[in-house]
Amino acid sequence: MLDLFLQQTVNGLALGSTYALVALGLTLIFGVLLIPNFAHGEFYMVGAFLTYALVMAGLNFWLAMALGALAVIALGCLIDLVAFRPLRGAPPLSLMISALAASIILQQTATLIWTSEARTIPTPVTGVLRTPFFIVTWMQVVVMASLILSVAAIWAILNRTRLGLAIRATAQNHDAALLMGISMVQVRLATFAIGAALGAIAGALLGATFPIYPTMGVNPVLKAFVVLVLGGIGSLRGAVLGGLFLGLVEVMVAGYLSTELQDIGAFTLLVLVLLIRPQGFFGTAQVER
Amino acid sequence: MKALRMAAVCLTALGLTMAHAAPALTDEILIGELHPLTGPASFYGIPESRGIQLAVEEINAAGGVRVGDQSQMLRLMTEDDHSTPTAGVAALKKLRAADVRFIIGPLGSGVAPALFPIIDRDSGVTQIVDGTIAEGVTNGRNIFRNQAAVSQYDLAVADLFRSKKYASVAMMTDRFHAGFMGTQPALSETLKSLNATVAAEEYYKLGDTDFSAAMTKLVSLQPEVLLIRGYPAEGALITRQARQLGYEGQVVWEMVSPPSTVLKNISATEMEGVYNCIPPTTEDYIALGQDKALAFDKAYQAKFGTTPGELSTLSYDAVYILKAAFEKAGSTENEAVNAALAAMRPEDVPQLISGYVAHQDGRLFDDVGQVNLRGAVSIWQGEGWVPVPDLAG
Amino acid sequence: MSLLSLHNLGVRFGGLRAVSDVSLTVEQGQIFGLLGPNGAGKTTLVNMISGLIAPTEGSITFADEAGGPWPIDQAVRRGIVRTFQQTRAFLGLTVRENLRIAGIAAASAPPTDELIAAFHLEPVLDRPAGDLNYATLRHLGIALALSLRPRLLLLDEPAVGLTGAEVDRLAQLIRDWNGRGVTVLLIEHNVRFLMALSHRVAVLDRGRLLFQGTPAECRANPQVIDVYLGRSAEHA
Repeated sequence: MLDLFLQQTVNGLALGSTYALVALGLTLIFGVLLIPNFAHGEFYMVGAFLTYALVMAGLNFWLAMALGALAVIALGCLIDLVAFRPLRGAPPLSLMISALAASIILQQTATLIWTSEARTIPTPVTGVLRTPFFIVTWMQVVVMASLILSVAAIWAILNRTRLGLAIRATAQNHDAALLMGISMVQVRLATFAIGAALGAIAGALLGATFPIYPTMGVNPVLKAFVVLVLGGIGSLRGAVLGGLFLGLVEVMVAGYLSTELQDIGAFTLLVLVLLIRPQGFFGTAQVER
Repeated sequence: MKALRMAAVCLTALGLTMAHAAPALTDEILIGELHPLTGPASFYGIPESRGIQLAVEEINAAGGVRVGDQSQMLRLMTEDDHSTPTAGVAALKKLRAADVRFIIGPLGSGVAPALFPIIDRDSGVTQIVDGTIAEGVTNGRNIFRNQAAVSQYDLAVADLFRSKKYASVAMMTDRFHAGFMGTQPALSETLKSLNATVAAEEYYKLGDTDFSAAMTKLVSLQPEVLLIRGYPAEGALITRQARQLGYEGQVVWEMVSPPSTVLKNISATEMEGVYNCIPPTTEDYIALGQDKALAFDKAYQAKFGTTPGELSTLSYDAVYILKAAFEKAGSTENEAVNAALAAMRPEDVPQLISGYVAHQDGRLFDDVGQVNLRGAVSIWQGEGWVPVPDLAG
Repeated sequence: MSLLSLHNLGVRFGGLRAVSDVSLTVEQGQIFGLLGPNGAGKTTLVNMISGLIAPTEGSITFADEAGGPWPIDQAVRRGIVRTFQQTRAFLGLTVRENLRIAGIAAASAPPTDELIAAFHLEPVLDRPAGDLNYATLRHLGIALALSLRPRLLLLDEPAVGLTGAEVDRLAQLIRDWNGRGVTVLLIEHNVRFLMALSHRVAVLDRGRLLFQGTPAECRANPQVIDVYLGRSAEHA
């Protein structure tokens, strides 16, 4: 019974780290630019498909992932330019609709290019790590390690570079940042680039574990929004801990109650958090600007 | 195209005003087909549509259909149902507006139940279902099906359990698949009656990616068999995650799963030894070297430049079944054609590729319009499914 | 040499004339005080100069460049920098980070060390700005504005809510930075504070310029005494 619990805990952390990986890019863009970027799921999807296409063309997985991420960075900046920048100062609903439109267009384009058939990227790391207490695949270990690396990289960028300071200042107080002479064009570009790259990396890694298809991004983004609400919008620590927490809850519900309740569990949690602590576990209550 | 349709409408209108005196003034029989040509299910739908095109071309090239003393050509009208109920009903209305009275399709287990109440009340149309395996979508009056029903898939599962004497089973079923969900209790009972303990009945849904919780539970229960009922992308994933978590029992699939799709999601090594319990598919008939299947394969590849899909032969067969019914009825009146279909025997349609077994009274369709196309067991070896003949039947 | 000139500046909000026909000149190196009762239009005037709101009439010339006022980010680039009554610091960032922000876009590094020393921010450098006490936060607000190396610093009621000792220290700081060449336009309710600091003062009343001159002239002006100083003195 205990080792079953340990195994379910590891399962939950592995699942949770996939949620956190997707949520990171989303929370960054939301936190800095206040854009509910539903198209993040499509950054994820395009990242997965490009990696798949390049691996099929004979490239090494990691190289394919890097090239895929670069292409998705360009895509992210393009989406910002076309879908979001013209709406600066528009109400959140307009941004949301624009994001949904971008998301649907990308899905349909992907369907035209790759068809809707599900496929999986050949796993770059095979095999299973068996310990006396639990079993975990090496690919899951890679995903968890990538989460740690991604968080470290974002932390370094945000806290150790001028650009990062500009991004954080903008997230704190957009108008004041403008007054301090910060170039919003640069901040937007950088934020979208980092967000898109995170999405693409998540897509490539998870596409080697899960099937990829044009609408594969829809569910993870919904889950990532749940994570954002759990962890607090705009908080990186919240995205990571919220993601892990959600993964654990889902696995425990499925493992000890019923698989049919797995999704219901997640969304019940969402409603509870919204009722009890609307700013999330790690968010601070929004100060009036 | 528009002019042609106008002409067809005018001619049909003319035929209607002349009532029963001369039912076949036109020298064409309009056949409507309803399949998902876009969207996620188009992967199954397009090869079905192509199977129909191929049969229609063959029949027309060979002189058409003999109705009474007259030869009539078949003309095909294709509609896309996106595999959604709304688009399916809209497509049906479109076909009926063009006075299509013979319909082949649909594929989707969601679409067929939506069409059923409409067609069931419409004596002016005859339908042959060539795709869905959901229960309760035929009536034996004007709706027939030349595809297996889920319960017939389940027969093969029962055959396998009977032969292998498995002691326990855990089931993973796609809870959005109306067909599999419909027979879940019955199958569970059947397996229990074969002395297999049902250790767990778990559910997932199309598009799910993480099954670790259910698989961990399953591994701890150590059932002899893991039975997966649904679609191949998830089937592959569940199989993989179960193995990774240390499940060493027998994996059994119950799903239409072309090897090309399977191999896009799991390696051949991981699939080795997995059983599948479904009626033989196009690829099986070709693999078995059946003459008609080989000829079909050749013609299909020549015309479309790609291999046929799993269900292409069913759609192809449906056209020939209709042709035989027109000829036997000597009429294209729905009532007469329905009667001919109800009385039809497998040997009346020599062109059939699929291995239909006559019902006890010798007919192709039973009282509710269902063919006998029972599931057979196949096993994954190397790069694809191989029939396991000694288990079937 | 004049740094800032307002030419018949005015703005209406709907039918309400908030400020009308204000013309004045701030000389390079001055501390220029702007007085007026509540609702006289002082903050509105500063908002127009700093580009936060656009005037409906009139214009400004800054450092011999006509055509102003400019939008706020362009004004900042020209060296017109303001503070707010509600300090606009980045509350989630540390004081040190706050002071570095100006350096992101600036051609030359901000005088961070001087500011830290002058405003006594050393002990709180690594604390989030949101944790600072009121007076320190106000200091940080002014330090942030100075970190942009302004030519003209617009201070909107910097002494509000400060104790007597804190007000004296603030006055000294303003004098120090003025001594380094920063021209200051000061809005303040605290008459004594403003009069003591300013080289020149103007008085606004109901959106119009009532008086312009030296503090001594101001104190002696009967009109000013009537509308403002008199009443204020009674209360003080």
